[in-house]
Amino acid sequence: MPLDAMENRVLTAVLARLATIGVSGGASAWLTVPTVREGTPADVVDPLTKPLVMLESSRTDPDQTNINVSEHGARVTNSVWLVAKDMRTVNKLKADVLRALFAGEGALTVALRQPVYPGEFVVRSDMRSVGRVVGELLIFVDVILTHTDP
Amino acid sequence: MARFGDANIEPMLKKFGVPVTATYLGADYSSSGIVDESDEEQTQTQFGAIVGRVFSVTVKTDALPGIAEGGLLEVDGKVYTIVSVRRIDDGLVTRVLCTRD
Repeated sequence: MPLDAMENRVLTAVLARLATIGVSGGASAWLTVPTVREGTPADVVDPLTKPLVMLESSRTDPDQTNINVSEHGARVTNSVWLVAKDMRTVNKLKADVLRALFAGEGALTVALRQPVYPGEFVVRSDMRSVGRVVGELLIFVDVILTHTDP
Repeated sequence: MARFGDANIEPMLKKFGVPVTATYLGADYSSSGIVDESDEEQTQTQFGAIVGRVFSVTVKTDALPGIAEGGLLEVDGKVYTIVSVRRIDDGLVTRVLCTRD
């Protein structure tokens, strides 16, 4: 049985870190206590009893500087969607996501051979009409795709 | 000056409206409002969309003095937080967007 797709290995490793938000060390160790899930729910997010953190695969780009006959470099980018009732809570969610990823740097590096890095963070007004604020944080990891387990 | 549709507003509210109450400067103001509620895609994501519940009440403009963003509005017995207050069409009616928080 081969290893799972690299993108799925990244999802699994990152999701395990995000699941520690509001839990590891107790709620007082975090700014938020959100619901964490993989993917966007098909159903309405209301009632939003807790802030929401959603992890999605976004894209995989080849790393042209890291190619040889048996290995291929690639950058796997994920989106972390953050939904809350106000802008400041979205900012806090973003800080907690980074806190969780930084605290798990050792475990992530063991699982993926590289740390996960933060990318662009954008707060959007799309949900203003329903009294919600949404943010998108990109995170990425530079991985090696082997011929046996890409 | 009467505006187009002016004569239809009261019958429309009477037929389709529900009780709406707002408190302003310690006094309660009541009127009728027409409720619309729908789940709509708000933000496109890679995986689909984040869906939010759009809840609005259409009331006669100036029927509820003092209503504004962040205030409370009781609609048919349930309390909502006002997201925005905007006049629509010819200005005789106002659409109040709310959230149930």
